[in-house]
Amino acid sequence: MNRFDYLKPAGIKEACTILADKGSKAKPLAGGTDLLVRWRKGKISPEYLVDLKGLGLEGVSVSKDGGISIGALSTLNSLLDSEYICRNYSFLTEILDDMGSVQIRNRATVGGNICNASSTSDLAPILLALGAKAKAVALDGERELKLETFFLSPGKTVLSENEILTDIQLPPFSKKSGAVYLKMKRNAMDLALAGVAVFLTLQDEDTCAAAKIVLGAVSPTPVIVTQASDELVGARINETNIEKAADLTAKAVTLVEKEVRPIDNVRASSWYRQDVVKSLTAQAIEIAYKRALQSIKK
Amino acid sequence: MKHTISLKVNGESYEIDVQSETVLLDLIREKLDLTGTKDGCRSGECGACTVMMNGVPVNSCMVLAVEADGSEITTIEGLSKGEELHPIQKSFIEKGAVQCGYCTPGMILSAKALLDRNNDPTSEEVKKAIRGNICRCTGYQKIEEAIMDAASTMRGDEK
Repeated sequence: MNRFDYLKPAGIKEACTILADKGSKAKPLAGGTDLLVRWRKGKISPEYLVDLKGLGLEGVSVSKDGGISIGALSTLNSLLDSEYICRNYSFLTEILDDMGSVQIRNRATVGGNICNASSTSDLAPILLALGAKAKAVALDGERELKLETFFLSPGKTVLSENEILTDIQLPPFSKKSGAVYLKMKRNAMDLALAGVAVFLTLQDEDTCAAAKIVLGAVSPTPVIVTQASDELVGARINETNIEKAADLTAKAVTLVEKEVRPIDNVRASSWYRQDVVKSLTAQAIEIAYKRALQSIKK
Repeated sequence: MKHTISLKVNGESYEIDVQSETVLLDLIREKLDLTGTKDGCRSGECGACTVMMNGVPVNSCMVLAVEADGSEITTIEGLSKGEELHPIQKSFIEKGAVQCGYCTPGMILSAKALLDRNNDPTSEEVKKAIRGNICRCTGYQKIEEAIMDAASTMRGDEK
C-alpha cells in the first residue's frame, strides 16, 4: 500500500489540468469502491488521487427528446431514487437494484463503473444495447462518443489520461420497446458470471423493427452480438406464433454461441458460460418481447 | 499529505487532522475511540464497518477520511439516548439476533437506514437491505425477525 496525496479540484478545468500535469502518477477518484480496494491490494500505486466529486457532475437531466443525461458522478442509489428513470427506464432500476449492496451503491458511481471497464460490469451491456453515448471533456475541449467505441480492454477505455467522463446519454425509450438484462451469479454480492442485455423495438404487434443483444462478463469487453440481433430484425413474432419466436430465439442463440468464445477462468469455465449465455439469451429475448408488447398495448 | 477536516460524528463537531490515506473507519476507531464500528474485510464486502454518512449507510473502510470533510456521521454509539437503547437495538437483544456480535453494529445501522426510508418493509426488502452485511453466526433468520419486530414497534403497532 503506497502513500498518495489527495487532491480535490473545484472545477473541471482545474481537474483536467491536474490530470494532464501528473499523467500516469494520478488516478481520478469517483466513488472509490473499486479504486480503494485495488490500491489496498497493491494492484495500483497512484501518487495522487484526484477526487472528481467537487465538479458538479451528479444528477439526471431529461433532454428535450425525452432521453436522459446521467452525470458521471451520480451514485447508483441516486439513480434508483430518480422517478423519471423508474417510470421511463424501469429495466435500469431493476439492474441497479441488484448491484452490490446498499452501502456500495451509496458510493459507487455510474461513471466509475463505466470507466473501470470491468468485464463484469452490469451497466455496460444494457447501456450498449440502448445505444448510449458518453460525453467527455479534456483541456482541448469536449467530445461525444458512442459507448460502442469506449471499451478497449479490461480497465482500459478510449479516454486519455487527462480526459474526464462527464455524462452518459441515453436516447428516449420508445413506447414500442422492451429491454432487460439478465445475469447469472452465485449470491447477492457476487459479480456476474455471464450477463445478457436485450433491447427490442417492435414495428407493430407482429414485427420486430430493431434488436440489440449484448453480452457481459463472457469476454474482456462487452460484446454486441450483431448477427444474432439481426436475426430478429424484420421477423414477425406474435403471441399466437410463439413457436416461430422460439425458433428464431434458438437461431439467435446459436449465433451467439458462434460469435462468442467465453472467458475460461476460476469463476466459471468457458463451456459453462456458453450454456448459461444460451439459456439467458432465450429468456431475455422473451422478456424483452413481452415488455415491448405490453407497452404497445398500454 | 495532511488535511484538516471538520465533520460531525453522532452530533458532536470535530476539527481534526488526517492523512490522505486515512480511511474513515480508522479515523472513527483510532482517533475518535468509537470502537463500536468494526474492522472486517476492508474491501467493502462484509459491512462490519457500516456507518451512516449524511443519512445513508456506507462502508467506512471504503471512504477516505478526507472525503468525509463536512459530512455528518452516525455510528452505532449515536443510536442510543444515554442508557436508553434504540428500538432496533432492543429488538436485536430480545430476538436473539446477536451471537458473536461482530456484525451487529453494521447490521443495525443498515436496518436503521432501511426503516428511516420505509417503516413497513417486506421480508424481501429487509433481506435486500442487509445483503451488504455478512453474519457468520446467526443464519440471518433472527436478524430479519428482529428488524421486522423493530419496524412494528417503531410504527407503534399494538402487540
